[in-house]
Amino acid sequence: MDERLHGHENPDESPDVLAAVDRRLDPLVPTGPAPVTDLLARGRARRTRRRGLQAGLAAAVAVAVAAVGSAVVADGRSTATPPVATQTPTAPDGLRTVGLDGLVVDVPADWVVRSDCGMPELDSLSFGPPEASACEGPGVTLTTSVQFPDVAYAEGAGPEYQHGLEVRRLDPCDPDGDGADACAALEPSVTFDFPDVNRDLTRPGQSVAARGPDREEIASSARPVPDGYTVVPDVVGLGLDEAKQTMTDAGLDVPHTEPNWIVGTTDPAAGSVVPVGTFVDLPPRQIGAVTPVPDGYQLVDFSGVAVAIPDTWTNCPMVATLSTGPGWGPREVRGCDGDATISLDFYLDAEFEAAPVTEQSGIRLQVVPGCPARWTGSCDDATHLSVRVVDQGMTVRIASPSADVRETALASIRAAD
Amino acid sequence: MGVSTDADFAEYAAARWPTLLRSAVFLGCTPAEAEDLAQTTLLRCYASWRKVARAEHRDAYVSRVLLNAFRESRRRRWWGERPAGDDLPDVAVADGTDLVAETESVRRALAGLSTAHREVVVLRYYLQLSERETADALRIPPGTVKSRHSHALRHLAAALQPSPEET
Repeated sequence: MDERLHGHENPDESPDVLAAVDRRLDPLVPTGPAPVTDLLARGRARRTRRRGLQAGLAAAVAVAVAAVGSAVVADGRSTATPPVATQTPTAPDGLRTVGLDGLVVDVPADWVVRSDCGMPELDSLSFGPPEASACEGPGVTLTTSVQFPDVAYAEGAGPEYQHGLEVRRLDPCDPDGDGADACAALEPSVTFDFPDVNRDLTRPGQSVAARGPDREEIASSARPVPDGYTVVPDVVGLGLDEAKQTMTDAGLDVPHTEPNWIVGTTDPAAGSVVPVGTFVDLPPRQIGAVTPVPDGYQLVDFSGVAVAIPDTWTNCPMVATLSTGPGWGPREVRGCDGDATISLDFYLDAEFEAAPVTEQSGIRLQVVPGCPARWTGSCDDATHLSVRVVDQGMTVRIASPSADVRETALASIRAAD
Repeated sequence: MGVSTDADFAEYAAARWPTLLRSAVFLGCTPAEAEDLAQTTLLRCYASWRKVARAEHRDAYVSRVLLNAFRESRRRRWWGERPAGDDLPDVAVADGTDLVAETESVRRALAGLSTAHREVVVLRYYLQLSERETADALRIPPGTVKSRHSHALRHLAAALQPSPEET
């Protein structure tokens, strides 16, 4: 019982009941201070892994790494001319090596970063075929995880190792369980966890989830970042100052640029495995170079995406589109079941896969006209359209009999601050 | 991550630790799981602390991390393999009769509430998010937040009423 309860902002909503529940919870709630020192130590350990690994795990790396003559490293910086970015660790023909923060894998050479397939609150990077616009099908996701199961080994059996690292395989299909055959036929992702990628962590670590026909091969190629190399972090969308600091932390060299811009792309791209000291270009994109919002409209935003709606519209509950985000409609229409609705949705429909990508206000869009497949109410193809905001992983649903409303909403879609 | 950023994180972690633990217990975690969940949440926040610190409403961001971590932990297979007895905490009390009865009553009350309803209460009550912020965090309409919250309150009020034989 403490000040939380006194600070509750809705005294009308029976706080007495919750206060009574809260009081009775007391014996179940652990006491004691926050383990701040431990949290900081573990957090810092994760942060410094990319540099610590190169020294600490060099002896454990079982793969042979070709020496790169021009990358003479001292104190994390190159003392020679900037190494060429295309020098990557050895990968079999047709493959290239990509990674995230201490761990690398070999993927097909044409796979690219898929920016909207990771988990937003984790450090993660996904790679997949360039033609795939959704996060389905073949691909691999590298994730830094801090939650990990305790594994009990059978008597006489020990942990398994891969490229000098202990590896724990998490297979979603229990081979002895019901439906194992059906599960395997679905080819779900197989996850390999690497508990000792950073030995300082009591709770590791790093994982690779791969799907598609080559998933076993990809996952089994996971290994530490070779000595003298580092992984280009994903800084797209960050402010230049923060991006430069992140790059410098990773042992990379960056250009001198003006502040108040954000990073549009990087060259080489995020996930590339390059020698420490490599120069990474950060072509900036000016914030604010976006279509102005016309009179009579207001900007609303959710989860990183903003769109203009008529001033007279108001927030309404979503029903017809089964949208997973908020929706807006005319004030006089009850709910969002009418023919005029603008909503934001996390769901990415399959029809976007074939849609061309355009750029607007510094973000990439895919526009699919007509009623969404999941629309359950009345719908006219002529008055509906769905817009996928590629980098933000969001869909904007626009429905209005007014062409002006539709066109203004579409033209106004932008990244939210 | 700089010293001042670490200090900022440390201050936040120390201040929110009791609330995170209490939220986790309310969601259905045992004391040990509650500590794990609170640590996982804070570690994930530390990894993106610049983003968290920049967030318009820091608690709203952290609450999303907490719920994601909680849902992930519940999805993992090993949750289903634990014997039910593990969920019963060992509570040491001097004279336990009344306290154990009270604790048991709240456990029963919470057991009758779905995870979706518990999540709304945690965000509204423990993390003190507004209806709008709760709706955003849970990705549900504000009206649903309101109805789940009032349903949860009604349920808890009814469940905590002493039964006739207890009065």
